[in-house]
Amino acid sequence: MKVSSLLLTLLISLSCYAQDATEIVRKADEKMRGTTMQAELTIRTIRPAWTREMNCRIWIKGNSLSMILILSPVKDKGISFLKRKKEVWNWMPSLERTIKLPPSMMSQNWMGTDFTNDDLVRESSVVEDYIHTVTGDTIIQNRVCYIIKMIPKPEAAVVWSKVVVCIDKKDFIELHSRFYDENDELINTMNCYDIKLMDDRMIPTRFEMVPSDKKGQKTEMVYKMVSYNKPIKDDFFSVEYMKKLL
Amino acid sequence: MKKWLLIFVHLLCIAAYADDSISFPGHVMVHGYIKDMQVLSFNKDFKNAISSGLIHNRINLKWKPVSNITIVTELRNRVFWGEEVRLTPGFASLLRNTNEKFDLQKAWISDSSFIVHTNVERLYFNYGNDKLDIRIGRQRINWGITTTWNPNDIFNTYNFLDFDYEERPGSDGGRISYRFNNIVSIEAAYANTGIKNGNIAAAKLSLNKWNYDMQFISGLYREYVTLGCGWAGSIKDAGFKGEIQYLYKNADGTDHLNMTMEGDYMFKNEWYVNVAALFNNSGINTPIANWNVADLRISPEELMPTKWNTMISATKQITPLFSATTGILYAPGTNLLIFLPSLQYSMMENLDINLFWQSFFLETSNQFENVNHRCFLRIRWSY
Repeated sequence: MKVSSLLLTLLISLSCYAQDATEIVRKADEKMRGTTMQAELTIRTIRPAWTREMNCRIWIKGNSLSMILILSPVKDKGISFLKRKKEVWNWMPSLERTIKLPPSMMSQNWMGTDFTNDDLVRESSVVEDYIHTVTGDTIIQNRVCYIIKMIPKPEAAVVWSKVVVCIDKKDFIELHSRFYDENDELINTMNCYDIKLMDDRMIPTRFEMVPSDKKGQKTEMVYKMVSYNKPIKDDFFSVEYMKKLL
Repeated sequence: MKKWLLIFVHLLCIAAYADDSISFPGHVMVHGYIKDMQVLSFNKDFKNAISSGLIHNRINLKWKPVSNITIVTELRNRVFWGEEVRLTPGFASLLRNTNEKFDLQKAWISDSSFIVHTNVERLYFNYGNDKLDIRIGRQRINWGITTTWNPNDIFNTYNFLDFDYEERPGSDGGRISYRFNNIVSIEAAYANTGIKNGNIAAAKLSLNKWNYDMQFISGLYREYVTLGCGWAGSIKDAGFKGEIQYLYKNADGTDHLNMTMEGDYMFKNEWYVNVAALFNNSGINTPIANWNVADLRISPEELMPTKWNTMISATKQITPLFSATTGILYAPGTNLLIFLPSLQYSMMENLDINLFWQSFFLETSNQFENVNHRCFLRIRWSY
């Protein structure tokens, strides 16, 4: 009896802990994304011998709707990407045509950067598609953080087989993430810096994605403008609208 | 002189007003490129090398006086020189896009081996709101879905070998589209080609259902009644697309059917592979006597001179600045093979260099042999 009640207590406490972990991730996710998000950002691809910069504007609504418009460099200006649920389209203004992209492109690097399509437009939900466990505490940039292990649910179609995130305990800001492949090898590390008041909330405004096996290589993403929770009609996320963004 | 000076100052003002950010009502956007391309052509066994050069400039102007209205003008300026110009009879006369009704081109200089040519590629007025879009003037009406061959692209067919003309030709006409919602839209278009009985009028219904884009086309293509459909979706993680277009011309038995199917996939090691097949019911399906029979001036009636065609292309991004592509086209009936490798390198943010190669092989007189090779080196500066 004692053993069973002990086990029951342990199970209850474990499930509470798991629920807490999910809640922490949910709060951090909600903080970064809001119900809708519009941002203008600079993406800098950094390699040992060269650096390239790209400016784009991004619109996100929930996990299923997003749009990206490239503003520079000039040769790519006007190219846009639309994601609606599992479908992705690419508008090429110079060809005046829409190209539907194969789903296999979602897990690949986007426009030569170290971010995947999925990192930018989040096909997967960090809340719904993973099982979360708090594994410990750490201090990053003088902030006490939870360390949370995220393992994808069996049915979830996600790129990574494990993600470890560090989330600030006070403000629920994600400060560090590590992405692992199916062989449990570390593929990418993301660090988040420069916490500032953007729109109505304090968020990191510089994100650095560092591939683990490529020395001197990383991609930086800097938010220049962000606005949250401004209504965007579902109609905006249409193939016709992606042609009219410029 | 004063007039030219005024135009120059006006253009400068427009350029200065051009903005790199999203356009606002009243703004004019100016962009384009200048390309320099050197071409070497060889006959069989790399004999009789012929060289030519091309400077190619495009100026795109877009003006939004108010948010619903857009006015677009695009100019294509080209300077040709070299042996190929000298050896091709009537070279300047071949530069006009064949399906344009109005003659908005001008050969400023047309010497035996030097040509300066300008064409107004786009000139249209567009009104658009949330649901309705109306465009009148010279424009590209692009109904293609697939990458290599586009049977549904009945307004202005594109030759996939003409890689240096990415914008593709325009049509003189009008187009109206109405979007009911994110699932259903309709479009009707008309193009006047300036040829007797050569006009094109068609309607397209577009749907998105079961994660597939689908389109159904019906109309008149020149003297043909035409019906078509196309789709773009996926099977597991691979893209799956296709287009079918049927052209029927009364009881004399002339009809054309072009069908294409295509699959594409991005592998984890960043190899992108695209496999396509095309069936053209009136194409040649037996070995031909000589290369000149394989006319690659394609049209919606015949997207290839050959009946069965397959194309495999693979692209590998070696670094984000450097990528390599290889394409192989093979038509089994005629034993026509085209080998199309290319290299792309970004030298600076807006400066790219490309190397394209096209080799043609064909079975003639029971012998499979090379017939023609072309090499293109291109530098492009975008502004």
